[in-house]
Amino acid sequence: MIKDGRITNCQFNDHIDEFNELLLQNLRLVTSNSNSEISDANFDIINNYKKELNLNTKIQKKIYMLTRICISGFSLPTSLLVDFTISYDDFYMVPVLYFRVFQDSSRSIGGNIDEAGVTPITSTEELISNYYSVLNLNDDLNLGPTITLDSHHLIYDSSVWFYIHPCETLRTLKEFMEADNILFTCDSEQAQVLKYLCIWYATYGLGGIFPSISLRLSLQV
Amino acid sequence: MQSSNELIEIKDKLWNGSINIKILMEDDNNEDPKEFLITAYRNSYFPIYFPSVIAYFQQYNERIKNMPVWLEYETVPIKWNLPIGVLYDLLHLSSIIQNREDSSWKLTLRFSDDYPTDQVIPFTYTDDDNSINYNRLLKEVIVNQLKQSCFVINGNSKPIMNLSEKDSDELWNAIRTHNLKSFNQINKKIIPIRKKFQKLPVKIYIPGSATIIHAPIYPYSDTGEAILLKNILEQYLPDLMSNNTDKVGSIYIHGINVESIINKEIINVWELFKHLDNFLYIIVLFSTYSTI
Repeated sequence: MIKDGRITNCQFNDHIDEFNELLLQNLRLVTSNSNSEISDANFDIINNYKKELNLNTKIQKKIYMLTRICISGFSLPTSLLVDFTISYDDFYMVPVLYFRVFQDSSRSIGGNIDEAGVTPITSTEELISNYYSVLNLNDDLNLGPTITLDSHHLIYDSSVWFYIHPCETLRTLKEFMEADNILFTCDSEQAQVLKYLCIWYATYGLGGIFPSISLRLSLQV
Repeated sequence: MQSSNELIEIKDKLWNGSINIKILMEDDNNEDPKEFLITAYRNSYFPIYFPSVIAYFQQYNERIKNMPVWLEYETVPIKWNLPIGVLYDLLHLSSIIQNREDSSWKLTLRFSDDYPTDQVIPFTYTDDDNSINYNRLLKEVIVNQLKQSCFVINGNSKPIMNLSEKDSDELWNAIRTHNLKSFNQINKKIIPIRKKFQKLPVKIYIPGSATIIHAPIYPYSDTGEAILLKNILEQYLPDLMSNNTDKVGSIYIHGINVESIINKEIINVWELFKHLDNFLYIIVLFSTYSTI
């Protein structure tokens, strides 16, 4: 069961598959903008896999889940590819999100990507100025304090990712999890961890940064 | 156990530990590469040196001023967000131990439109005169590292978040100018007294592999016994510490083989050898990568 409003690396490992299933089934592009040009945007999950690191230590194994989504539409300057990983940070004792964003001028659909037409976006300003509508961002939003470029904590050889700095995640999630009506004593550990991860996704996961890439649950966890 | 004077002297030596680096820049006119020699502190970061390196090389190519530069070692772009000494130990130490190269480090300076953004954090800030501002991004990266280590040590990032603007500026200036006294004055506000330590922030790297181990270490066991450096290695690298008599690897901190202090308490090792981001970096060279 969840203790002190946080999950452990072990609980993360035990239930990340179930959370991943939820993601695959319920991730949606939900634009609140009524602009018809925006609403033509398509959203596809084009890659999703789990990687278990072979560290050969006596401590808990390390796992990350990598997903690639593609947002395309005639109103966008190019298609947008977003890679994101979900993993557990042992220093901060919380799940963490790393993501990379690419412009795909080949306007690929359904996974057929011409890598020559793919260029990385390396500043949040560039991201906001070109894609704020489809990502439901404010065009004057300053993501700088919350998002920085950093090396991935588990993927050493492909180093540069945007990273949502998690120094507030533990405290914020604890407040959410200890609020009334979130956890029921009859909940299984799986249900509790999934609730935790859904709240994490909406606050410090991809949904917390890009409100339009939303985890709309069709089933009660 | 060393006396406090000896410990101060060791800390001073570690803080001032440095590396001789030859930086080469290829010439557009196919002449011999231009050279710049620097002695860089191990416990510092390359972007701090970039302005002086650029100031020298711009006499040969003015474009360098307005394009972000990066360094390469044997065609591998260098991740400037790690301390220089850690990079040196990761990339160059095994060559020295195997007597393949001397201790000076030869790097190549690059600048072009093809900045390796997939491997090295790109510099996106510029000054009014359009020159690249290296310090601003470096400061952000180091502050994030300090927040992370502060969180591990205290259980939250409040001590660093609560620093006054004056203290924050002084801390950054101490890092930039490599002033130990000034750095310690502010850093002691981030690090609590020993008995309030929650965990110690430790990172373990294995050169030649993609392995990075982030190890938050309890300094004491549940029964109050001090955890030793050896215990950490046994837990995180059981292959290295197996009872097999064949030596499988060597352990380095700040470029120093630390096997003689393997039975020291981890809290003392951390306190002595931590870098300015308050992380203890341990480099493990396995025999596959060294001839030890």
